[in-house]
Amino acid sequence: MSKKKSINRRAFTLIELMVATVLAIIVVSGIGFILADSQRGWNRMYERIYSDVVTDSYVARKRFDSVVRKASGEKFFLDDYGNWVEVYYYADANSTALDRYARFIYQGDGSLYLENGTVDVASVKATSSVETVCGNVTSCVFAASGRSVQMILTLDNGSQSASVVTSCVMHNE
Amino acid sequence: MNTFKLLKSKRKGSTIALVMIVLVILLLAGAGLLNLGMHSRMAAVRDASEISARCAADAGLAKALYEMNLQLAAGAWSDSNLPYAMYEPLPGSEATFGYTVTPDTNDRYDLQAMGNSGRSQKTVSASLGIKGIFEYAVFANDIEFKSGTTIDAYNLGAGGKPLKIGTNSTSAGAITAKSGVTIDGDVVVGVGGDTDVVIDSKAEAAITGVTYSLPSKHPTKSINVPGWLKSAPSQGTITTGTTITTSGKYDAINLLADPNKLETLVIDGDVSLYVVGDIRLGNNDEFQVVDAGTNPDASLTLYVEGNILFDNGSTVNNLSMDCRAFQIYGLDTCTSIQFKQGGTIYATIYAPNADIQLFNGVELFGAIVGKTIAQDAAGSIHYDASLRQVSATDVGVRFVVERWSEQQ
Repeated sequence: MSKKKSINRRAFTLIELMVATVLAIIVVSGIGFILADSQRGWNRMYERIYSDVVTDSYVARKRFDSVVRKASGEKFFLDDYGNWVEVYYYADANSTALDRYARFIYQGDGSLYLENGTVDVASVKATSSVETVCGNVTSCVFAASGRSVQMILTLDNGSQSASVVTSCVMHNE
Repeated sequence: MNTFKLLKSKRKGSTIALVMIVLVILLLAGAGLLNLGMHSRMAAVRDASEISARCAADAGLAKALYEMNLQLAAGAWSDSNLPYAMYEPLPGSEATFGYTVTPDTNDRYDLQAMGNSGRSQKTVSASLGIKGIFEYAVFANDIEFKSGTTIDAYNLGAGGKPLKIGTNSTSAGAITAKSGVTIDGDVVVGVGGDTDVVIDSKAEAAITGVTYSLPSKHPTKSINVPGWLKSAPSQGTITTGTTITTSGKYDAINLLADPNKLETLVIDGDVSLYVVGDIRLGNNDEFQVVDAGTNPDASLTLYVEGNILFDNGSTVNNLSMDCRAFQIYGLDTCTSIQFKQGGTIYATIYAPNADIQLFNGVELFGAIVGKTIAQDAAGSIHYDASLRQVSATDVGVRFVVERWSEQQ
């Protein structure tokens, strides 16, 4: 007759298992939460730095600065409602008169446009190009004081918004 | 099984591996966030540096221009002493600026200003020209043209800018141009002014150019009498007709002693007169500048502290027919200039504190700057556009930026 050996291996009790399970759930949940939060934070930060709204606002500010700073303070036109501003500048150092114009326009269609063209001696303008400076525009207001022109631009792509306020002095005579 | 045995157990566990995986994931996420944050920070620093460098470059240009105008006003202008600076600190920031000025071949000066901040450097360049005090045909706080007045220009040259009349005022009716007034050029009003409000009867006058407001206040600076003339001993009062060939200082000019006698003051030389008191010409009296054939250098420059009255019948007879040969500068205390005689005058009048009145349909060839200007009867003002061409030795000139550019 075979002799049965009684195996007296120690096992986990139900309580121990439950405690361990709860602890494991807490730890895994914590780790998951941290990972998810990191991901969200990374996405948020990435959006703040590289989203189209931010890059558009940066491009718009640079474009506005470069055009207005070289403009002549002698003559410019501003819409009564601040929806557009038109400045004049010299094509190059040899120009004897203001022979170029640039007009920043916001028509309420979500884009900021820049119209460029030539001006002849009789002040007759001829448009040579219209470029879209940026999209996602929800509002854009131009103002002027003395030789300074200001642009207050707000962009929104539905998930993020950005505002740019920039002022430039028109340096040319 | 006791604890010791459990620890000695060779059964494989996975906890360490799991913890390591989690740690690596967290480390990667943290590193990514830090990298992103650093990029953001670097972009912000770069942006701020660029703006700071640009401001420094602008400041350099402004300072160089200021120094040049100081030298010019002091009458000590010399191409051998042009402003120069390197690494001057911009107050309130860590940026520095420098500038160099070099004369070019067209009587202009090339100014290059550099601004540095951190790793950013910005350079702005400007071509500086000299502007005189007669950029406008007529300039005053208050201008009134009666019906029949014509303002036009000569010596304009092909492609030249049209004449301008202007005011620094934004008050309603600061420029009155009634029906029958013709302005063959632009009309400019004060900063922020509404041309429909500032120009009274704008619709009635014939303005061939455009109307707009000034971007910045037009300077009407005081005139300084040259030191050598100011310190000269006074030669008394001129009361009778005479010929003057040299410059000098006088208490007054009053040719009214005998109202029935024609007194003629003849200028036959390059003459500057500093008159401390008033200038008064009576009926039939005459200021005469000899013609260029007689003396090509003949010209009169008057610096007047008192008031000026050219009475009915008097004559300003500038035979050279060059308005530069008869220049009147009313100093700060000159508050009234009246031309009661009719006829033609070749002259420039600059008296920013004076009320200037032109009676009897005076036809003026030159330009006028005053505190107020009234053309009381139909007359004409013909602007000599060549007055825009000035040199560093002319009275009241200043450097201005004519062309400006920056490296993108």
